[in-house]
Amino acid sequence: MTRIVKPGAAIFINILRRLTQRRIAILLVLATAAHALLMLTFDLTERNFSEVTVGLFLAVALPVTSLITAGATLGDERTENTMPYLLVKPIPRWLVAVSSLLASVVTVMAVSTLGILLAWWLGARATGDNGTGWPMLVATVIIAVGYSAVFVPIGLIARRSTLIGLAYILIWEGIIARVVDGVAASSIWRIGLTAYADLGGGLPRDVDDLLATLTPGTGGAITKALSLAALSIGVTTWLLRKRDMA
Amino acid sequence: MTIPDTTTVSVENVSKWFGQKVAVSEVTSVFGPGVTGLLGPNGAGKTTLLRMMTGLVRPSEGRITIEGIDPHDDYRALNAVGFVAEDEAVYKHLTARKFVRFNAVLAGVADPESDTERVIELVDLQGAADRPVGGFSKGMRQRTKVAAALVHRPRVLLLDEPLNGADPVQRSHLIDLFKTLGARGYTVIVSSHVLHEVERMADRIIAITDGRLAASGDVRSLRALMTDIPQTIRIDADKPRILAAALISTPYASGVKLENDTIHVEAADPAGLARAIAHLARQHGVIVRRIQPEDESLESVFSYLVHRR
Repeated sequence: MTRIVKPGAAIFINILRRLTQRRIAILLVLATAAHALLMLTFDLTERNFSEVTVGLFLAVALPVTSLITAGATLGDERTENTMPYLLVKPIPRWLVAVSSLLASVVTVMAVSTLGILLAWWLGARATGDNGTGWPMLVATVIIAVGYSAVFVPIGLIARRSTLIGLAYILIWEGIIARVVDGVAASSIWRIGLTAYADLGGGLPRDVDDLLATLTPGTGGAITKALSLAALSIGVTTWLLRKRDMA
Repeated sequence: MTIPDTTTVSVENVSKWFGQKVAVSEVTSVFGPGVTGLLGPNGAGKTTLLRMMTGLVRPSEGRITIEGIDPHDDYRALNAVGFVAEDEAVYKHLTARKFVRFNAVLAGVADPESDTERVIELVDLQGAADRPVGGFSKGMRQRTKVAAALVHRPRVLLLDEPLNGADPVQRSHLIDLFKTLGARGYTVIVSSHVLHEVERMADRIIAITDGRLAASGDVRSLRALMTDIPQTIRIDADKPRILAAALISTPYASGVKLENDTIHVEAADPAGLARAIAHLARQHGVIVRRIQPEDESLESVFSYLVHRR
Protein backbone atom coordinates (compact mmCIF):
# COMPACT_ATOMS: atom_id res chain seq x y z
CA MET A 1 0.00 0.00 0.00
CA THR A 2 2.86 2.37 0.89
CA ARG A 3 4.35 1.65 -2.56
CA ILE A 4 1.20 3.23 -4.01
CA VAL A 5 0.18 5.95 -1.54
CA LYS A 6 3.56 7.65 -1.09
CA PRO A 7 4.48 7.91 -4.79
CA GLY A 8 0.88 8.89 -5.63
CA ALA A 9 0.94 11.66 -3.03
CA ALA A 10 4.36 12.82 -4.24
CA ILE A 11 3.15 13.07 -7.86
CA PHE A 12 -0.05 14.83 -6.76
CA ILE A 13 1.83 17.41 -4.67
CA ASN A 14 4.45 18.00 -7.34
CA ILE A 15 1.88 18.61 -10.08
CA LEU A 16 -0.20 20.77 -7.73
CA ARG A 17 2.84 22.93 -6.94
CA ARG A 18 3.77 23.26 -10.59
CA LEU A 19 0.25 24.20 -11.67
CA THR A 20 -0.33 26.71 -8.88
CA GLN A 21 3.08 28.34 -9.27
CA ARG A 22 2.57 29.19 -12.95
CA ARG A 23 2.10 32.89 -13.75
CA ILE A 24 -1.22 32.11 -15.40
CA ALA A 25 -2.57 30.88 -12.05
CA ILE A 26 -2.99 34.51 -10.94
CA LEU A 27 -5.00 35.29 -14.07
CA LEU A 28 -7.15 32.24 -13.44
CA VAL A 29 -7.80 33.38 -9.85
CA LEU A 30 -8.92 36.76 -11.20
CA ALA A 31 -11.03 35.15 -13.94
CA THR A 32 -12.86 32.93 -11.46
CA ALA A 33 -13.33 35.87 -9.13
CA ALA A 34 -14.67 38.17 -11.86
CA HIS A 35 -18.30 37.29 -11.17
CA ALA A 36 -17.87 38.08 -7.47
CA LEU A 37 -16.14 41.38 -8.28
CA LEU A 38 -19.03 42.22 -10.63
CA MET A 39 -21.48 41.54 -7.81
CA LEU A 40 -19.82 44.35 -5.88
CA THR A 41 -20.95 46.85 -8.50
CA PHE A 42 -24.73 46.50 -8.16
CA ASP A 43 -27.48 45.83 -5.64
CA LEU A 44 -27.37 42.10 -5.20
CA THR A 45 -30.57 40.06 -4.99
CA GLU A 46 -31.03 36.29 -4.90
CA ARG A 47 -32.04 36.38 -8.55
CA ASN A 48 -29.16 38.39 -9.99
CA PHE A 49 -26.72 36.49 -7.71
CA SER A 50 -27.82 33.33 -9.45
CA GLU A 51 -27.76 34.92 -12.92
CA VAL A 52 -24.18 36.15 -12.55
CA THR A 53 -23.01 32.90 -10.93
CA VAL A 54 -24.47 30.82 -13.74
CA GLY A 55 -23.83 33.11 -16.73
CA LEU A 56 -20.34 34.25 -15.88
CA PHE A 57 -18.82 31.77 -13.43
CA LEU A 58 -20.26 28.31 -14.11
CA ALA A 59 -20.74 28.67 -17.89
CA VAL A 60 -17.61 30.66 -18.83
CA ALA A 61 -14.85 31.32 -16.26
CA LEU A 62 -14.86 27.91 -14.60
CA PRO A 63 -14.85 25.82 -17.83
CA VAL A 64 -12.01 27.92 -19.30
CA THR A 65 -10.01 27.73 -16.04
CA SER A 66 -10.59 23.99 -15.83
CA LEU A 67 -9.54 23.20 -19.38
CA ILE A 68 -6.39 25.38 -19.18
CA THR A 69 -5.40 23.70 -15.91
CA ALA A 70 -6.27 20.17 -16.97
CA GLY A 71 -4.53 20.50 -20.34
CA ALA A 72 -1.32 21.58 -18.60
CA THR A 73 -1.40 18.82 -15.99
CA LEU A 74 0.37 16.16 -18.06
CA GLY A 75 0.80 18.38 -21.13
CA ASP A 76 3.50 20.39 -19.35
CA GLU A 77 5.24 17.19 -18.25
CA ARG A 78 5.40 16.18 -21.90
CA THR A 79 6.41 19.53 -23.40
CA GLU A 80 8.96 20.23 -20.66
CA ASN A 81 10.42 16.72 -21.03
CA THR A 82 9.93 15.82 -17.36
CA MET A 83 7.79 12.77 -18.15
CA PRO A 84 10.73 10.33 -17.62
CA TYR A 85 10.79 11.29 -13.92
CA LEU A 86 7.27 9.88 -13.63
CA LEU A 87 7.41 7.02 -16.09
CA VAL A 88 10.89 5.54 -15.61
CA LYS A 89 9.88 4.50 -12.13
CA PRO A 90 8.61 1.20 -10.72
CA ILE A 91 5.05 2.47 -10.29
CA PRO A 92 1.92 1.58 -12.26
CA ARG A 93 0.85 4.06 -14.91
CA TRP A 94 -2.68 4.28 -13.51
CA LEU A 95 -1.17 5.88 -10.41
CA VAL A 96 0.19 8.70 -12.56
CA ALA A 97 -3.25 9.06 -14.19
CA VAL A 98 -5.13 9.17 -10.86
CA SER A 99 -2.67 11.58 -9.23
CA SER A 100 -2.77 13.88 -12.25
CA LEU A 101 -6.55 13.99 -12.37
CA LEU A 102 -6.76 14.73 -8.64
CA ALA A 103 -4.10 17.43 -8.94
CA SER A 104 -6.01 19.07 -11.78
CA VAL A 105 -9.31 19.08 -9.85
CA VAL A 106 -7.71 20.39 -6.66
CA THR A 107 -5.87 23.11 -8.59
CA VAL A 108 -9.11 24.28 -10.22
CA MET A 109 -10.76 24.34 -6.80
CA ALA A 110 -7.79 26.21 -5.32
CA VAL A 111 -7.73 28.96 -7.95
CA SER A 112 -11.55 29.27 -7.72
CA THR A 113 -11.60 29.56 -3.93
CA LEU A 114 -11.35 33.35 -3.83
CA GLY A 115 -14.24 33.78 -6.27
CA ILE A 116 -16.42 31.20 -4.54
CA LEU A 117 -15.86 32.56 -1.04
CA LEU A 118 -16.29 36.17 -2.10
CA ALA A 119 -19.50 35.43 -3.99
CA TRP A 120 -20.75 33.27 -1.13
CA TRP A 121 -20.19 36.09 1.36
CA LEU A 122 -21.80 38.69 -0.91
CA GLY A 123 -24.77 36.41 -1.59
CA ALA A 124 -25.25 35.71 2.13
CA ARG A 125 -25.04 39.42 2.95
CA ALA A 126 -27.54 40.40 0.24
CA THR A 127 -30.10 37.68 0.84
CA GLY A 128 -29.60 36.88 4.48
CA ASP A 129 -29.25 33.19 3.54
CA ASN A 130 -25.89 31.65 4.41
CA GLY A 131 -26.57 28.67 2.18
CA THR A 132 -26.48 30.48 -1.19
CA GLY A 133 -22.96 29.29 -1.86
CA TRP A 134 -23.53 25.55 -1.48
CA PRO A 135 -25.05 24.94 -4.93
CA MET A 136 -22.19 26.95 -6.45
CA LEU A 137 -19.59 24.89 -4.57
CA VAL A 138 -21.11 21.54 -5.56
CA ALA A 139 -21.47 22.62 -9.20
CA THR A 140 -17.86 23.84 -9.18
CA VAL A 141 -16.59 20.45 -8.03
CA ILE A 142 -18.65 18.63 -10.67
CA ILE A 143 -17.48 20.96 -13.45
CA ALA A 144 -13.84 20.78 -12.31
CA VAL A 145 -13.97 16.97 -12.29
CA GLY A 146 -15.71 16.83 -15.68
CA TYR A 147 -13.34 19.13 -17.56
CA SER A 148 -10.29 17.65 -15.86
CA ALA A 149 -11.44 14.18 -16.89
CA VAL A 150 -11.65 15.26 -20.53
CA PHE A 151 -8.65 17.55 -20.79
CA VAL A 152 -5.98 15.74 -18.77
CA PRO A 153 -5.69 13.01 -21.46
CA ILE A 154 -6.13 15.54 -24.28
CA GLY A 155 -3.25 17.58 -22.85
CA LEU A 156 -1.13 14.46 -22.92
CA ILE A 157 -1.55 13.93 -26.65
CA ALA A 158 -2.27 17.39 -28.10
CA ARG A 159 0.07 20.34 -28.06
CA ARG A 160 -2.80 22.84 -28.38
CA SER A 161 -5.19 21.46 -25.81
CA THR A 162 -6.31 24.95 -24.74
CA LEU A 163 -7.33 25.85 -28.29
CA ILE A 164 -9.11 22.51 -28.67
CA GLY A 165 -10.87 23.16 -25.37
CA LEU A 166 -11.93 26.68 -26.29
CA ALA A 167 -13.31 25.43 -29.59
CA TYR A 168 -15.14 22.69 -27.72
CA ILE A 169 -16.68 25.17 -25.26
CA LEU A 170 -17.57 27.79 -27.88
CA ILE A 171 -18.73 25.59 -30.73
CA TRP A 172 -19.90 22.34 -29.18
CA GLU A 173 -21.19 23.49 -25.80
CA GLY A 174 -22.02 27.08 -26.77
CA ILE A 175 -23.74 26.66 -30.12
CA ILE A 176 -24.43 23.03 -31.05
CA ALA A 177 -25.63 21.99 -27.59
CA ARG A 178 -28.15 24.83 -27.64
CA VAL A 179 -29.72 24.02 -30.98
CA VAL A 180 -29.40 20.25 -31.34
CA ASP A 181 -31.58 18.12 -29.09
CA GLY A 182 -29.67 15.68 -26.91
CA VAL A 183 -26.25 17.31 -27.33
CA ALA A 184 -26.71 19.34 -24.13
CA ALA A 185 -26.28 16.13 -22.16
CA SER A 186 -22.62 16.07 -23.28
CA SER A 187 -22.00 19.63 -22.13
CA ILE A 188 -19.91 19.45 -18.97
CA TRP A 189 -20.79 22.81 -17.45
CA ARG A 190 -24.48 22.05 -18.05
CA ILE A 191 -24.05 18.83 -16.07
CA GLY A 192 -22.78 20.99 -13.21
CA LEU A 193 -25.64 23.39 -13.81
CA THR A 194 -28.21 20.62 -13.29
CA ALA A 195 -26.82 20.16 -9.77
CA TYR A 196 -26.80 23.92 -9.18
CA ALA A 197 -30.43 24.20 -10.31
CA ASP A 198 -31.45 21.22 -8.21
CA LEU A 199 -29.79 22.43 -5.01
CA GLY A 200 -30.73 26.07 -5.57
CA GLY A 201 -34.40 25.45 -6.34
CA GLY A 202 -34.24 26.14 -10.08
CA LEU A 203 -32.66 28.80 -12.28
CA PRO A 204 -33.75 32.42 -12.74
CA ARG A 205 -35.85 33.00 -15.88
CA ASP A 206 -33.08 34.91 -17.71
CA VAL A 207 -30.72 31.95 -17.66
CA ASP A 208 -33.02 28.94 -17.39
CA ASP A 209 -32.73 28.25 -21.13
CA LEU A 210 -29.06 27.38 -20.57
CA LEU A 211 -30.09 23.97 -19.27
CA ALA A 212 -31.59 23.24 -22.72
CA THR A 213 -33.19 19.79 -22.53
CA LEU A 214 -31.54 18.81 -19.23
CA THR A 215 -33.49 18.48 -16.02
CA PRO A 216 -32.13 19.53 -12.62
CA GLY A 217 -30.63 16.72 -10.55
CA THR A 218 -27.63 16.41 -8.25
CA GLY A 219 -27.23 12.63 -8.09
CA GLY A 220 -27.19 12.27 -11.87
CA ALA A 221 -24.66 15.07 -12.23
CA ILE A 222 -22.34 13.51 -9.65
CA THR A 223 -22.69 10.09 -11.31
CA LYS A 224 -21.84 11.56 -14.73
CA ALA A 225 -18.79 13.40 -13.35
CA LEU A 226 -17.51 10.28 -11.59
CA SER A 227 -18.09 8.18 -14.72
CA LEU A 228 -16.11 10.69 -16.76
CA ALA A 229 -13.33 10.56 -14.16
CA ALA A 230 -13.18 6.76 -14.27
CA LEU A 231 -13.14 6.80 -18.09
CA SER A 232 -10.43 9.45 -18.03
CA ILE A 233 -8.20 7.40 -15.73
CA GLY A 234 -8.61 4.42 -18.07
CA VAL A 235 -7.81 6.45 -21.19
CA THR A 236 -4.85 8.28 -19.61
CA THR A 237 -3.40 5.00 -18.31
CA TRP A 238 -3.75 3.46 -21.75
CA LEU A 239 -2.07 6.47 -23.39
CA LEU A 240 0.80 6.41 -20.89
CA ARG A 241 1.34 2.71 -21.60
CA LYS A 242 0.93 2.70 -25.35
CA ARG A 243 2.24 5.99 -26.62
CA ASP A 244 5.92 6.66 -27.16
CA MET A 245 7.30 9.32 -24.83
CA ALA A 246 10.14 10.18 -27.18
CA MET B 1 21.05 -15.53 -29.30
CA THR B 2 22.77 -17.00 -26.25
CA ILE B 3 22.59 -14.58 -23.39
CA PRO B 4 25.50 -14.72 -20.95
CA ASP B 5 24.69 -15.12 -17.23
CA THR B 6 25.95 -11.66 -16.45
CA THR B 7 23.61 -9.99 -18.93
CA THR B 8 21.39 -7.34 -17.39
CA VAL B 9 20.16 -5.58 -20.52
CA SER B 10 19.36 -7.52 -23.66
CA VAL B 11 18.58 -5.90 -27.00
CA GLU B 12 17.38 -8.40 -29.56
CA ASN B 13 17.03 -7.39 -33.19
CA VAL B 14 15.44 -4.07 -32.23
CA SER B 15 14.19 -1.55 -34.76
CA LYS B 16 12.27 1.64 -34.24
CA TRP B 17 10.74 3.91 -36.81
CA PHE B 18 8.74 7.09 -36.41
CA GLY B 19 6.54 7.33 -39.50
CA GLN B 20 8.91 7.08 -42.47
CA LYS B 21 12.02 7.79 -40.40
CA VAL B 22 14.02 4.81 -39.21
CA ALA B 23 15.66 5.77 -35.92
CA VAL B 24 17.09 2.37 -34.95
CA SER B 25 17.57 -0.53 -37.30
CA GLU B 26 18.05 -4.18 -36.32
CA VAL B 27 20.30 -3.60 -33.33
CA THR B 28 21.27 -6.63 -31.30
CA SER B 29 23.52 -6.45 -28.26
CA VAL B 30 23.76 -7.47 -24.64
CA PHE B 31 25.04 -5.45 -21.72
CA GLY B 32 26.37 -6.51 -18.37
CA PRO B 33 28.29 -5.10 -15.41
CA GLY B 34 30.84 -2.44 -16.27
CA VAL B 35 30.70 0.74 -18.31
CA THR B 36 29.59 0.50 -21.94
CA GLY B 37 29.91 3.56 -24.13
CA LEU B 38 27.22 4.10 -26.71
CA LEU B 39 29.08 6.17 -29.24
CA GLY B 40 27.69 7.87 -32.29
CA PRO B 41 27.17 11.22 -33.96
CA ASN B 42 24.11 13.33 -33.16
CA GLY B 43 20.99 11.77 -34.64
CA ALA B 44 22.55 8.30 -34.80
CA GLY B 45 19.80 6.68 -32.73
CA LYS B 46 21.50 6.54 -29.32
CA THR B 47 18.73 8.41 -27.50
CA THR B 48 15.99 6.31 -29.08
CA LEU B 49 17.84 3.12 -28.12
CA LEU B 50 18.27 4.29 -24.52
CA ARG B 51 14.63 5.38 -24.32
CA MET B 52 13.56 1.95 -25.54
CA MET B 53 15.63 0.46 -22.71
CA THR B 54 13.68 2.61 -20.22
CA GLY B 55 10.30 1.62 -21.66
CA LEU B 56 9.50 5.21 -22.68
CA VAL B 57 9.53 4.15 -26.32
CA ARG B 58 8.23 0.83 -27.60
CA PRO B 59 10.36 -0.96 -30.23
CA SER B 60 8.64 -1.29 -33.60
CA GLU B 61 10.31 -4.67 -33.90
CA GLY B 62 12.44 -6.83 -31.64
CA ARG B 63 12.62 -7.04 -27.86
CA ILE B 64 14.43 -5.33 -25.03
CA THR B 65 14.62 -6.75 -21.53
CA ILE B 66 16.06 -5.51 -18.27
CA GLU B 67 17.00 -8.45 -16.06
CA GLY B 68 14.68 -10.55 -18.20
CA ILE B 69 11.65 -8.24 -17.99
CA ASP B 70 10.30 -6.02 -20.77
CA PRO B 71 10.37 -2.48 -19.29
CA HIS B 72 7.57 -1.29 -21.57
CA ASP B 73 5.13 -3.98 -20.50
CA ASP B 74 6.05 -4.40 -16.84
CA TYR B 75 6.95 -1.40 -14.72
CA ARG B 76 8.65 -3.66 -12.14
CA ALA B 77 11.62 -3.88 -14.53
CA LEU B 78 12.25 -0.23 -13.67
CA ASN B 79 13.19 -1.15 -10.09
CA ALA B 80 16.60 -1.87 -11.55
CA VAL B 81 16.87 1.22 -13.76
CA GLY B 82 18.27 4.69 -13.20
CA PHE B 83 17.96 7.05 -16.16
CA VAL B 84 19.51 10.42 -16.99
CA ALA B 85 17.85 11.98 -20.04
CA GLU B 86 19.79 14.07 -22.52
CA ASP B 87 17.79 17.27 -22.16
CA GLU B 88 18.11 19.68 -19.26
CA ALA B 89 14.57 19.06 -18.08
CA VAL B 90 14.08 19.23 -14.34
CA TYR B 91 11.30 20.42 -12.06
CA LYS B 92 12.52 23.98 -11.82
CA HIS B 93 10.38 24.83 -8.81
CA LEU B 94 12.05 22.18 -6.65
CA THR B 95 15.34 22.50 -4.80
CA ALA B 96 17.97 19.90 -5.68
CA ARG B 97 17.30 18.09 -2.40
CA LYS B 98 13.54 18.01 -2.96
CA PHE B 99 14.03 16.95 -6.57
CA VAL B 100 16.20 13.99 -5.58
CA ARG B 101 13.86 13.11 -2.71
CA PHE B 102 10.89 13.18 -5.11
CA ASN B 103 12.68 10.63 -7.30
CA ALA B 104 13.52 8.54 -4.23
CA VAL B 105 9.88 8.39 -3.12
CA LEU B 106 8.68 7.44 -6.61
CA ALA B 107 11.31 4.71 -6.77
CA GLY B 108 10.04 3.26 -3.50
CA VAL B 109 13.18 3.93 -1.45
CA ALA B 110 12.66 2.87 2.19
CA ASP B 111 14.48 5.84 3.68
CA PRO B 112 14.31 8.67 1.13
CA GLU B 113 15.99 11.23 3.40
CA SER B 114 19.20 9.32 4.03
CA ASP B 115 19.49 8.08 0.45
CA THR B 116 18.94 11.62 -0.80
CA GLU B 117 21.81 12.87 1.37
CA ARG B 118 24.00 9.99 0.22
CA VAL B 119 23.67 10.77 -3.50
CA ILE B 120 23.84 14.54 -3.05
CA GLU B 121 27.19 13.98 -1.41
CA LEU B 122 28.17 11.52 -4.14
CA VAL B 123 27.74 14.16 -6.86
CA ASP B 124 29.19 16.88 -4.66
CA LEU B 125 26.08 19.07 -4.49
CA GLN B 126 25.89 19.62 -0.73
CA GLY B 127 26.48 23.37 -1.00
CA ALA B 128 23.70 23.92 -3.51
CA ALA B 129 21.19 21.30 -2.38
CA ASP B 130 18.68 23.81 -1.03
CA ARG B 131 18.67 26.05 -4.09
CA PRO B 132 15.97 25.71 -6.77
CA VAL B 133 17.16 23.56 -9.66
CA GLY B 134 15.74 26.15 -12.09
CA GLY B 135 18.61 28.48 -11.21
CA PHE B 136 21.34 25.88 -11.71
CA SER B 137 23.94 25.88 -14.46
CA LYS B 138 23.69 23.09 -17.03
CA GLY B 139 26.48 21.15 -15.34
CA MET B 140 24.83 21.38 -11.91
CA ARG B 141 21.54 20.23 -13.38
CA GLN B 142 23.32 17.24 -14.87
CA ARG B 143 24.76 16.35 -11.46
CA THR B 144 21.32 16.73 -9.88
CA LYS B 145 19.86 14.41 -12.52
CA VAL B 146 22.64 11.88 -11.93
CA ALA B 147 21.92 12.01 -8.18
CA ALA B 148 18.21 11.47 -8.85
CA ALA B 149 19.00 8.50 -11.09
CA LEU B 150 21.24 6.91 -8.45
CA VAL B 151 19.08 7.47 -5.39
CA HIS B 152 17.40 4.03 -5.43
CA ARG B 153 20.68 2.16 -6.06
CA PRO B 154 19.72 0.93 -9.53
CA ARG B 155 21.63 -2.02 -10.96
CA VAL B 156 21.35 -0.58 -14.46
CA LEU B 157 22.25 3.04 -15.10
CA LEU B 158 21.28 4.52 -18.46
CA LEU B 159 22.96 7.86 -19.10
CA ASP B 160 22.19 9.91 -22.19
CA GLU B 161 25.01 12.41 -22.77
CA PRO B 162 25.46 12.92 -19.02
CA LEU B 163 28.54 15.11 -19.40
CA ASN B 164 26.81 17.77 -21.50
CA GLY B 165 27.36 21.19 -20.01
CA ALA B 166 29.62 19.97 -17.22
CA ASP B 167 32.88 21.89 -16.73
CA PRO B 168 36.19 19.96 -16.86
CA VAL B 169 36.32 19.38 -13.09
CA GLN B 170 32.71 18.19 -13.00
CA ARG B 171 33.35 15.98 -16.03
CA SER B 172 36.30 14.38 -14.39
CA HIS B 173 34.31 13.84 -11.19
CA LEU B 174 31.37 12.27 -13.07
CA ILE B 175 33.65 10.08 -15.18
CA ASP B 176 35.33 8.78 -12.02
CA LEU B 177 31.91 8.15 -10.49
CA PHE B 178 30.68 6.16 -13.51
CA LYS B 179 33.90 4.15 -13.60
CA THR B 180 33.58 3.36 -9.89
CA LEU B 181 29.97 2.26 -10.34
CA GLY B 182 30.98 0.07 -13.26
CA ALA B 183 33.77 -1.48 -11.21
CA ARG B 184 31.29 -2.19 -8.40
CA GLY B 185 29.17 -4.29 -10.75
CA TYR B 186 26.62 -1.77 -11.97
CA THR B 187 25.65 -1.95 -15.62
CA VAL B 188 26.39 1.57 -16.81
CA ILE B 189 25.45 2.47 -20.38
CA VAL B 190 26.64 5.95 -21.32
CA SER B 191 25.87 7.60 -24.62
CA SER B 192 28.12 10.27 -26.04
CA HIS B 193 29.19 11.73 -29.35
CA VAL B 194 32.63 12.56 -27.97
CA LEU B 195 35.05 9.70 -28.56
CA HIS B 196 37.70 10.66 -26.03
CA GLU B 197 35.11 11.02 -23.27
CA VAL B 198 33.78 7.54 -23.88
CA GLU B 199 37.33 6.24 -24.08
CA ARG B 200 38.05 7.58 -20.59
CA MET B 201 35.21 5.75 -18.88
CA ALA B 202 34.06 2.78 -20.96
CA ASP B 203 35.44 -0.74 -20.94
CA ARG B 204 33.47 -1.48 -24.06
CA ILE B 205 32.18 0.68 -26.88
CA ILE B 206 29.19 0.22 -29.13
CA ALA B 207 29.34 2.51 -32.12
CA ILE B 208 26.04 3.49 -33.73
CA THR B 209 25.40 5.47 -36.84
CA ASP B 210 22.24 5.95 -38.89
CA GLY B 211 20.45 3.77 -36.35
CA ARG B 212 22.67 0.77 -37.05
CA LEU B 213 25.35 -0.94 -35.05
CA ALA B 214 28.57 0.13 -36.75
CA ALA B 215 31.11 -1.52 -34.48
CA SER B 216 31.30 -3.11 -31.09
CA GLY B 217 34.18 -4.11 -28.89
CA ASP B 218 36.64 -2.89 -26.35
CA VAL B 219 38.26 0.49 -26.73
CA ARG B 220 41.49 -0.97 -28.11
CA SER B 221 39.85 -2.91 -30.93
CA LEU B 222 37.75 0.09 -31.96
CA ARG B 223 40.84 2.29 -31.93
CA ALA B 224 42.58 -0.25 -34.16
CA LEU B 225 39.72 0.02 -36.63
CA MET B 226 40.00 3.77 -36.63
CA THR B 227 43.73 3.85 -37.25
CA ASP B 228 43.03 2.19 -40.59
CA ILE B 229 41.12 5.25 -41.73
CA PRO B 230 43.02 7.08 -44.48
CA GLN B 231 43.27 10.74 -43.58
CA THR B 232 42.69 13.42 -46.16
CA ILE B 233 44.62 16.63 -45.80
CA ARG B 234 43.84 19.88 -47.53
CA ILE B 235 46.70 22.18 -48.50
CA ASP B 236 46.49 25.77 -49.76
CA ALA B 237 49.72 27.02 -51.38
CA ASP B 238 50.83 29.69 -53.84
CA LYS B 239 52.09 27.09 -56.39
CA PRO B 240 49.70 24.17 -55.87
CA ARG B 241 50.54 22.29 -59.10
CA ILE B 242 54.26 22.14 -58.30
CA LEU B 243 53.66 20.99 -54.73
CA ALA B 244 51.03 18.42 -55.84
CA ALA B 245 53.45 16.94 -58.39
CA ALA B 246 56.18 16.74 -55.76
CA LEU B 247 53.88 15.12 -53.18
CA ILE B 248 52.65 12.41 -55.53
CA SER B 249 56.17 11.06 -55.85
CA THR B 250 56.54 10.54 -52.07
CA PRO B 251 55.60 7.28 -50.29
CA TYR B 252 53.60 9.27 -47.68
CA ALA B 253 50.72 10.16 -50.02
CA SER B 254 48.48 7.45 -51.42
CA GLY B 255 46.54 9.88 -53.60
CA VAL B 256 46.69 13.54 -54.61
CA LYS B 257 43.88 15.60 -56.11
CA LEU B 258 43.92 19.25 -57.24
CA GLU B 259 40.64 21.12 -57.04
CA ASN B 260 40.31 24.90 -57.51
CA ASP B 261 43.99 25.36 -56.63
CA THR B 262 43.55 23.39 -53.41
CA ILE B 263 45.47 20.16 -52.93
CA HIS B 264 43.66 17.22 -51.31
CA VAL B 265 46.15 14.57 -50.23
CA GLU B 266 45.17 11.14 -49.00
CA ALA B 267 47.84 10.42 -46.41
CA ALA B 268 49.25 6.93 -46.11
CA ASP B 269 51.48 8.17 -43.28
CA PRO B 270 50.22 11.46 -41.88
CA ALA B 271 53.29 12.19 -39.76
CA GLY B 272 55.68 11.47 -42.65
CA LEU B 273 53.52 13.55 -44.97
CA ALA B 274 53.69 16.54 -42.62
CA ARG B 275 57.47 16.39 -42.68
CA ALA B 276 57.51 15.90 -46.46
CA ILE B 277 55.30 18.93 -47.11
CA ALA B 278 57.69 21.21 -45.24
CA HIS B 279 60.72 19.74 -46.99
CA LEU B 280 59.18 19.84 -50.51
CA ALA B 281 57.83 23.37 -50.06
CA ARG B 282 61.27 24.62 -49.12
CA GLN B 283 62.90 22.66 -51.96
CA HIS B 284 60.50 24.04 -54.64
CA GLY B 285 60.11 27.54 -53.23
CA VAL B 286 56.42 27.08 -52.48
CA ILE B 287 54.67 29.13 -49.80
CA VAL B 288 52.18 26.96 -47.88
CA ARG B 289 49.31 29.03 -46.56
CA ARG B 290 47.24 26.38 -44.80
CA ILE B 291 47.34 22.68 -43.95
CA GLN B 292 44.09 21.24 -42.61
CA PRO B 293 42.89 17.69 -41.97
CA GLU B 294 39.52 17.09 -43.59
CA ASP B 295 38.36 13.89 -41.97
CA GLU B 296 38.60 14.33 -38.23
CA SER B 297 34.92 14.61 -37.43
CA LEU B 298 33.28 11.75 -35.61
CA GLU B 299 30.77 11.56 -38.46
CA SER B 300 33.54 10.71 -40.90
CA VAL B 301 34.93 8.07 -38.55
CA PHE B 302 31.50 6.49 -38.32
CA SER B 303 30.88 6.80 -42.01
CA TYR B 304 34.11 4.89 -42.52
CA LEU B 305 33.15 2.21 -40.01
CA VAL B 306 29.76 1.74 -41.65
CA HIS B 307 31.09 1.57 -45.19
CA ARG B 308 33.76 -0.95 -44.32
CA ARG B 309 31.20 -3.38 -42.76
